[in-house]
Amino acid sequence: MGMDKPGEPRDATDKGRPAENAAARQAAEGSTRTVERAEPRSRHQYAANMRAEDATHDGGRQPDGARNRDNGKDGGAALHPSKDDKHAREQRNSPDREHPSRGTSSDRRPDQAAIKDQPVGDSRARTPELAEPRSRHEYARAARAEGARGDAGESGDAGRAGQPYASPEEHKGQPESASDQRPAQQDRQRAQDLYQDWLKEQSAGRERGSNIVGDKPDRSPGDISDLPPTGEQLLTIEKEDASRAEKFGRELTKDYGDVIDTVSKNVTSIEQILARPQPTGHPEIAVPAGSQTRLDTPQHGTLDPSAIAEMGLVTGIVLFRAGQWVRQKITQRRGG
Amino acid sequence: MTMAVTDDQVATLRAQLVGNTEEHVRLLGRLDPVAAQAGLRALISAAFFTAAERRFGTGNSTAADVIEFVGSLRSRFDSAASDIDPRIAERLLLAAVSDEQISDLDPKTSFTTQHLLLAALVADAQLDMAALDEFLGQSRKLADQWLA
Repeated sequence: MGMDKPGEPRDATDKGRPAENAAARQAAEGSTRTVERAEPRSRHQYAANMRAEDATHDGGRQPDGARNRDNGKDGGAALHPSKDDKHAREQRNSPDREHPSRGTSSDRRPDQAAIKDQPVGDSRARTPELAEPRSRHEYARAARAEGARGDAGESGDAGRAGQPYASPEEHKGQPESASDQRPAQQDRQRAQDLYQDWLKEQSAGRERGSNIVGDKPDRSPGDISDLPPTGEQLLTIEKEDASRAEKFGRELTKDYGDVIDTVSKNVTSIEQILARPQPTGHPEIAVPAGSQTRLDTPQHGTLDPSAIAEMGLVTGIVLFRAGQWVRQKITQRRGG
Repeated sequence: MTMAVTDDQVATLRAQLVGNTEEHVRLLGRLDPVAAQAGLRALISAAFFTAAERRFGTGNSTAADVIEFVGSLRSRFDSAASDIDPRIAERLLLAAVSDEQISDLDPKTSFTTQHLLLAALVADAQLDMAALDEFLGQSRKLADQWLA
């Protein structure tokens, strides 16, 4: 890999990775740029500068003076790339360089390297220097790296917050905590025995699990219809009966005339009622609807002996009468 | 002075319910009109209430059964159309087994209807002598409670 001349277009691989280009340049030049500024540039200013630089490096459409206009001291750094810049370009152009999507190690990525070199918690110095917003994966890796660094001094679960999930293989070498250790067989057996004793006490002689699924009880446990009424229900029933009887009792207070005369007038009617009591039994006889006529024999049944005998009798009579008629005709011809 | 149902009043009603009309008329003529004004009236009302409760108070009967019974009663005697108002008869029967109110009924019409319904209920129950005596004893007890 030779050193590129300033102002000349780079190879084709650089054109498709502006973010990496920017990060590489940032790794090589950014420290100088940010330190020398009295005030940090705004995002818009920085993006405009980076676009100008990319155009200069990728297509050579802009002269280097454009960069020098924005940052006079950057021009010197670009015209004379440092060793870091050369190293970053070599890494970009090396054939064994892995694609970011395949999970490359963070130390090979220029932006990650730049993040590592920056002080922890200084987001102002880290984020504005990216030409393009990082992807979710890149941001997650950066956050994990930052969390691991920031929580390095902490212990316990708080220290694992920023770390990725550790596989069981990773736990093999670590000592088990007290909560992870399984109780001994004797302890488990003793706990099981205690639980069985507790179950026996709770069931109090009843067969546990007798009411299984599918074996539904024939009625609700709250159904007490077949039981005699309780004391409270008896009192209620008596009160209801008394209230109904009292309705008729109160009617007695109403005076309306001679009772004996009224009873005497009903003698004839009551005599008729008693003489013609309500008929017992079913008052109606159920008659099935629809026609009840049907054929007793099938229409295309087989010949039975009675039919054969009847047919033979008819045939015999017909033949006998026919014979008589023939004999009579013959007798007439002979006689005539 | 506390009124109570007398033996003569019970005998008069018993003679009528067993179909002995001559005895009933004879005993009826011997009753004290003043005492019968309360005693016989209470006895007939109590007997009607007891018979109706036995017939329709079993829990299986419905209002349709009451209507059917009144309809059959009106077919049993000639002057039924004038002597029995079916609506009043049904209300009296329902009052014995439900919360139906009868306070708005005419006392004379109510008593006449109860008397006719009592005869029909006893006839349908087909009680023998012992059962009839037990029925009248229960009715007399209820009547005495009312008169007490």
